Amino acid sequence: MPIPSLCTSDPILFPTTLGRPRGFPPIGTMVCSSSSDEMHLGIPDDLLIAEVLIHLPAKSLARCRCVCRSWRAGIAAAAFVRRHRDLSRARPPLSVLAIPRECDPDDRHATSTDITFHRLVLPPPGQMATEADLVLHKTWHEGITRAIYPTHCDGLVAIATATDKVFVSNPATGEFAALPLCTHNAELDHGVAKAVPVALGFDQWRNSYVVARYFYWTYGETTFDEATDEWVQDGDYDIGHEVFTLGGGGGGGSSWELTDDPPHLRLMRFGLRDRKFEVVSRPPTPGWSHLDSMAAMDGKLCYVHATADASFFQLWMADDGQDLQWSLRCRIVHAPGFRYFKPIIEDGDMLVVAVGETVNRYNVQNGSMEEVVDKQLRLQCKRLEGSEFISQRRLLL
Amino acid sequence: MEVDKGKGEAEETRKVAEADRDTVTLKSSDGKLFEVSKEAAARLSTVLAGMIAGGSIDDNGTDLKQIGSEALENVVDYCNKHANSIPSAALISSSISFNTAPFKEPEEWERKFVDRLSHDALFDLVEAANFLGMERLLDVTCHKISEMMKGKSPDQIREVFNIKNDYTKEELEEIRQELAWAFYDD
Repeated sequence: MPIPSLCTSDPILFPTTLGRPRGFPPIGTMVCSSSSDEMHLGIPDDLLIAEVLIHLPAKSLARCRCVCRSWRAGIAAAAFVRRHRDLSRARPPLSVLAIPRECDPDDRHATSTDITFHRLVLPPPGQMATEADLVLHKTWHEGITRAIYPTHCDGLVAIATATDKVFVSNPATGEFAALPLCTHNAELDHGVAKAVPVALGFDQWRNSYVVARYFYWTYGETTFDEATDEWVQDGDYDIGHEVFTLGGGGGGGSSWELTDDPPHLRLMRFGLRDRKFEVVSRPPTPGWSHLDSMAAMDGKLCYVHATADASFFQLWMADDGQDLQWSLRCRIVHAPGFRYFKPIIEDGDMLVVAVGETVNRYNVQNGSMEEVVDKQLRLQCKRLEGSEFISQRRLLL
Repeated sequence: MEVDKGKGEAEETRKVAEADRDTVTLKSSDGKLFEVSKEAAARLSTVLAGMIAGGSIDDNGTDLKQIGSEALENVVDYCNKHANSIPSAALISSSISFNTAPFKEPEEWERKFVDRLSHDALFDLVEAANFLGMERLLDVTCHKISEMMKGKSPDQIREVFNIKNDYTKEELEEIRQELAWAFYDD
């Protein structure tokens, strides 16, 4: 029986159903490099780039760019960047980035000249983390408010403060920069929020990372009218937005913000394509509470709804489409006293969550909650209390 | 009609006989023959699986002209000795749950398997694994190579992979400055 010739176009020989495209260059290109001596080191460049370099972390990859022109070109190619990012996204991160801040509950404008980023490596189930590496220590002489609201995308971190100042950092590369001063957000004059989040995302239509931020030109007051026993809206709300472009890369998505816009709670999505806000569906919760919050878990939008007495939380997850499709991921009953619950990482039935002021592992199946950070480490890190925890993925260039 | 029917039956019988064999014979570029478990070959190599399913396996040795005997011996060794402990390629790719490790960590024996290889043999095995569509073996060998790259300077990488530096001095200086952060520490 004749053996069919092996060629890459044969769908049986080179199935694409394995989840990720592999190197598999056409056989014709598998030519050994022309080394003159006896050395036979002939892995073709395309195979090395597609199968080996693709898995290297950012630092090693940067060095590889210095090796030769073809490696540099391969690493810079759009397809490489896209796949490197997808592979990074496909793997649930096993570490959490902690940004400890000693907050003063009475003074949200209190500042500190230092900011540190710690990498907390998550231990296997049943064990506690005993180490947190200092990834980046930055001194900013003008001061950064102690109250911050970090958001993240692909390892980049945007740090919103209690002022209009926004910082962007790539802890892996040590970059830390302030965005040009933004439009003043009148919301900050009204003590509504300690720090107002900004959105960090990848604009696939313009091929760049962007920070999008909303602000109030004018922020109306709501006063309580004792005669009618009702809250009365006094004055207008006028919302604007601005977008800052950060750099190149691949991929896509939208950014979301929750606007706490009395008297109705609306969820607005900022579309990167047309750069506009639009009102999208909220999860079908009975009402809302001021403890409700939103977070991005593994690139998916989550809405955490707290019951009025905070006796349990509902975790809703959105499918991003024309409108948001919400599904209830789980219902979390927790120990009283915790007023704060933020999902960070999803790993099968296990959720890594920031609860109160520490990091816990929550089993969706049986409802068990297990603390991840041991007390000694919390002391070592001088107050992880007040930390902002966000998921940390392998960082991209 | 009758002739056709007879021929069909003969083919049927032959196919059954082929299916009964639980090994396949592979022939390297230099004509050496290797026996490998059919089940393992089909499970670990998408190319061999396609050939087995398509009935294009030659009992007298399926020609693999692109693979030398040393590399093929390693491929067969990998399949035969360790087939039972490896989940199928499809399973591996759907159960990736790690971060800092760039691949699903090789098992201890897989580590030993690639550690004993010389650079040349390792590189040949990468090509063979790629050629045969052996997802897991490709991962294990590429993992070893990526380990070899970590913490190495561009000069050391060029030496290991026998790559010519085709940058000018000025260009290299420029890139190095741009990527200064990658050259701190280790």
